[in-house]
Amino acid sequence: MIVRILLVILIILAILVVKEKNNLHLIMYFSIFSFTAASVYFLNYALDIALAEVAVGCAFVPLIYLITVSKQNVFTVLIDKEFLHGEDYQDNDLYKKLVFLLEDFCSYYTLELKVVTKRVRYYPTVQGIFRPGNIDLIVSLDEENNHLVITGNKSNIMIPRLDKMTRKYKNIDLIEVDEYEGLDE
Amino acid sequence: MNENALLKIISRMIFPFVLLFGLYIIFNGDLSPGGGFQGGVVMASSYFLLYFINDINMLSVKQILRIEKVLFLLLVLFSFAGVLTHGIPFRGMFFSEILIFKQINLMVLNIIIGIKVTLGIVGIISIFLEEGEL
Repeated sequence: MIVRILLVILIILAILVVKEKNNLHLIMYFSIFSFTAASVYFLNYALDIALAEVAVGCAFVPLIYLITVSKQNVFTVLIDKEFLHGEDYQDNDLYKKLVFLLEDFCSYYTLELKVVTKRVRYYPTVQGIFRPGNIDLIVSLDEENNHLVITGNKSNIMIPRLDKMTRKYKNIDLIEVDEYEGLDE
Repeated sequence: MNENALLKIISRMIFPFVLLFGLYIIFNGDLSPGGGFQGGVVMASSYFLLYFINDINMLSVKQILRIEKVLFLLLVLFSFAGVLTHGIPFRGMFFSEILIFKQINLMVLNIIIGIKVTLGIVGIISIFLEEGEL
């Protein structure tokens, strides 16, 4: 009876692994899947295979995936064209701060910085902008308070690390958004 | 790599117990479930509690690969050592009919395989971890 319940849970977990979009959640689901499979082996008196499944499926393979996900090397930043429209934007104080912050961050984590400039207003949702170009950050200007707004994807593993560095700067705000939210919020 | 204090302290606390459990699986592999491979993977995962979370690295990849090659040679030589004494491989060198000598033979094989698997997996994940940082 318990074995049958566990087998149903295995099917549900397999569907979750395929359907999940967030990489870290996916790795955790895979780990739970291996643990459930190991308990099925254990209840069917295959103790050797259960031990190997626990050691390899729960610890070894998720660790490799975790390292691989956290090592995506290129860090793509999209800067709003309306922020860069003037002649003397390079003398702007905010621009200097932004360049300093991004170069500091990328050299600390050995990332390769790639900058794209586009008009952000054309994209209605965050999903339409994050997915196609594999973009990590969106930089835009909040003209009322003269603040710089950096928007990042919630599932990206580098965003909390960048958040630690941005706390030093008063004029730069970092916002974490879900993929299905609108940009204006 | 990770700055969370809770993770660091708990991983340091459970490290010796995980290592001991791996050794237990290896040394009881001849009579109970387990053996060289399973114990080796458990020992390797205990090493990564230190390396991945606390950033403590004791071995370099070159050393690991060199020791692993020597162990592979040792494993093959030990398996075929029976050919010299009574002409049959995979049976141990002496008294292959007596139970206690069979146990000793299996235990030595398990220990060699356990160390080899531990070093192999430590090598694989070390290469993965150190790949980007030149």
